[in-house]
Amino acid sequence: MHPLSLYFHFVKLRIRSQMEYRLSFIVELFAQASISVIDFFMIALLFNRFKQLAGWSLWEVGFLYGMIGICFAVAEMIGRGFDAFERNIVRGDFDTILIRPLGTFYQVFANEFLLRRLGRIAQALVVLLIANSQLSVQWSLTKVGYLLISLMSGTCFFIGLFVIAATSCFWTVQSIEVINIFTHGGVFMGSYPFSIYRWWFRHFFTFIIPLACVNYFPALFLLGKIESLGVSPIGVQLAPFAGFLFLGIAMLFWRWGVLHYQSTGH
Amino acid sequence: MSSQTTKVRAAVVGLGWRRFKCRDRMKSLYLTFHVYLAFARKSFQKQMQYRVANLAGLTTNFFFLLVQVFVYIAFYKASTEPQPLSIDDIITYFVLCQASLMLMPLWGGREIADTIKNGSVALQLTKPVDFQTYWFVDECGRAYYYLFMRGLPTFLISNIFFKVTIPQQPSVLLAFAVSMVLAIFMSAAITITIFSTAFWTLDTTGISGIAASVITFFSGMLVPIALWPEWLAHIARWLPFEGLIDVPFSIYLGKLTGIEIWIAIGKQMAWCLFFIGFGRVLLNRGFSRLVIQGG
Amino acid sequence: MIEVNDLSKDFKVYHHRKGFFGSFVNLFSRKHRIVQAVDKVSFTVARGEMVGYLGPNGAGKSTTIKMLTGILVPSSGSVTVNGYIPHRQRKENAKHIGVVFGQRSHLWFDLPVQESFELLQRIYRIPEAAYRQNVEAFEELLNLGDFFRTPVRQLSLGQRMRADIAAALLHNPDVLFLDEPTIGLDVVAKARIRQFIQRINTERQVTVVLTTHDLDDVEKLCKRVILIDNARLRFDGELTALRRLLSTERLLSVDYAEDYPDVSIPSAHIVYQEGARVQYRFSPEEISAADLIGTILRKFRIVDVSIQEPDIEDLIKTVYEDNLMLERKLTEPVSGDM
Repeated sequence: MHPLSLYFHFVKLRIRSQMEYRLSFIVELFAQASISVIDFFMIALLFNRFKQLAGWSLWEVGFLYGMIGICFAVAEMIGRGFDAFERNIVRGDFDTILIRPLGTFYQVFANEFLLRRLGRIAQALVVLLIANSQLSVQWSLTKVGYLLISLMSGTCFFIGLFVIAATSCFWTVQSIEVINIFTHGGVFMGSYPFSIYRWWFRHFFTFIIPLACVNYFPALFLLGKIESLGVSPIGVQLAPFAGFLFLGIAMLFWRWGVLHYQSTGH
Repeated sequence: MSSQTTKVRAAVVGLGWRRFKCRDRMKSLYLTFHVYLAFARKSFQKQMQYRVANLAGLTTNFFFLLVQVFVYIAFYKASTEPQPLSIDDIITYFVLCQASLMLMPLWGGREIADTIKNGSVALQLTKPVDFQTYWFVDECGRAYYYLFMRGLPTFLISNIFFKVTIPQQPSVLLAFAVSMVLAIFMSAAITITIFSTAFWTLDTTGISGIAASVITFFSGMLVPIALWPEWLAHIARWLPFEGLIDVPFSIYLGKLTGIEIWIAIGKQMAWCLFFIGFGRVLLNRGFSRLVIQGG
Repeated sequence: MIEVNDLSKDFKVYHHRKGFFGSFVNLFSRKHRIVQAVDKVSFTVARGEMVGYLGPNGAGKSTTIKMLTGILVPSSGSVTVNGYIPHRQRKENAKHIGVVFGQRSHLWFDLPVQESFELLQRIYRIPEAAYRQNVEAFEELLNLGDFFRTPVRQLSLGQRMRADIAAALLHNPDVLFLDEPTIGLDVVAKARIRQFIQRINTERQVTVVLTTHDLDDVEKLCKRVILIDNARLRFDGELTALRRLLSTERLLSVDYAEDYPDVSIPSAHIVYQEGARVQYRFSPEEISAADLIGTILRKFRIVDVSIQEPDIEDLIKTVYEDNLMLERKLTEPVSGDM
């Protein structure tokens, strides 16, 4: 298990260097959490006035919100290397990665670890737990496993987006900022049930950018709302695998992109 | 240390001195204005290099707007009770929100903190330019860039896709324009205040992050204050941040009329002055700290 | 050890449109032109050799090194290092080579040198015994001890370079690529690094490929040089052979006893004239030094006279400027390591 133990060694080093500035770390953790608390509070305000959204209660939406929030924050924490890949290219650090006897994807992945996303993860987890306590979900071992797979799949989905943006740096140097639509925008739209969106919007975010597959469909299944949808339950149950597939495609794109790397200077 | 200290102190004292000593005040004011106008123009041009980023930002703005509109339409569909804002009002409100997102005190200021952190603030103090005014003007230049390069396109494109209401009375438009300018001024003053904390903390990310969440919340950027529960709206009315978003847009939507407009604009002005004054106190404290520590 | 055949690399350089509208168009279509960085370069390097890879800035030195190390994919031609094709078998190749770029560190910016080394030990899976042995040896040879626990970001340029070179050798590579290893260093630091490279090459039989534009490096270290200019190979052979080939031209400096209005001599060119001091360039094939001096003595009264062999800096300048290379003659391999 050499790659795995090496990965944890990298993470350990990263965490240690981030803890050097302890005060600013704690303040930022707090800032992160406060932003996201307000975020959810706003949704609560709307429910306070309007009571329900397309047949979803506040805590059902909270369940969606918690899931997508965890996925995104974890992706940001562990996938930071791709999220911040632009400066690797700008500074020429990618040369260093290429002279090491390890895969490029592995190295970029292992190189960074953003511990301060813990604040956001904690907030999203709390919302998810409260939502669960307010709802009467019949938990079984299968359902817990399914939830965990969905969360992993969602995380993979967001990392896949980071990878695609990072790969684009091989051509454009600057990361394509439009990816924000799918990352931050994805979290925003994923916090609400997909049924409120127009059909073309829904289809785009199901089949091309499989956001619905890692969040909305799994939540439908877990909250027992499939019947209301008229979609085959098998399709819904298999949906989370789209996240893994998405990351796989992103990785292929990465491998192809690396071949087009033009190091700085001649 | 001492020579640098004296220099800085001389500059600080000199600035105050110059201001009172001027005989031909009108002429000096005019000249000063010219200098700062040049700074504002420079700041405007500085933003030009981020054109591609701006284009991407425009797309992102529009996407968020789209989702917001979907969400509110769904909420309004389910509700039978009368609401203080119609769905058309809401759409217009969020179009304006996304259009003026870059004018908020959430984006700029990093440069101010850097100036303070890397010590070039001492150099700036030796110049015959007021530190706060300089950055105020710089922030305004940035804001006007985004007003025209981000705000206007967002607004125009939105008109194609959504039903955006446009006020018919010229007086409303005039009041809105005044209120918007005040919002930009307040945003600049707040930004300087936030980042002048760099004198005390090495890293302003945390403080600016917390400030950002308070501003986002209480400005009404996420949910119009009219839709908030009474008790919370009450708190917001007593805070300055509604002046950034909710006040100008409520004027635009015609939700404030007659004397209410004047009160709202008066409040904006008062808060503006407050932040300028507060920022000045903070900066002066910071400068004296600088003098004591010798940079 | 290293075989390079008709290796070429061209880059696309994009033309950026100006203006708001232009930047919008840039997103969808971009004009580009092709820049040839390396053009059909061939050479081989034998095990244990130390080769200087020379050329002016932008000649294509770094691009070649980057193709040999697997950083860049060649546009055409072939490369093998240790029998591996670097861009295809990048990881395998990486295990057997060490790379140092003078312009930037390969170490972890915020880690102490020691931890960077330990990380490399894990990455390259260096057995504990070999690792200890190397670290001890390098600590002594490069005086790493002074800053072994200092974060890399706080090191001076000389210290950083020493740390980087040691790091590149921890895993006992067969080939060491050094790209401008002495750039920006003072004389003492340069000497120390040269000495170390020399030792590594002789004691460990590490093949060294060195790019530099410090000619002292070359004179002190390399028997063999490869010259590259404008993406093309200009010379490949022993330094002495380069000198011999180019020493067809020599310089003769004369201090005359008085200012003569016309000091021109047939079959010698005046390089410069400064009062009574005149420098001539001549070719021994046309006129022997003795004959030239005889001619001068017959015509003028002189105070002093001296003949200079051009130094390597001049040689290289001649190669670049005149393109006098009879390519056939010069690209013929002079060293017998093919």
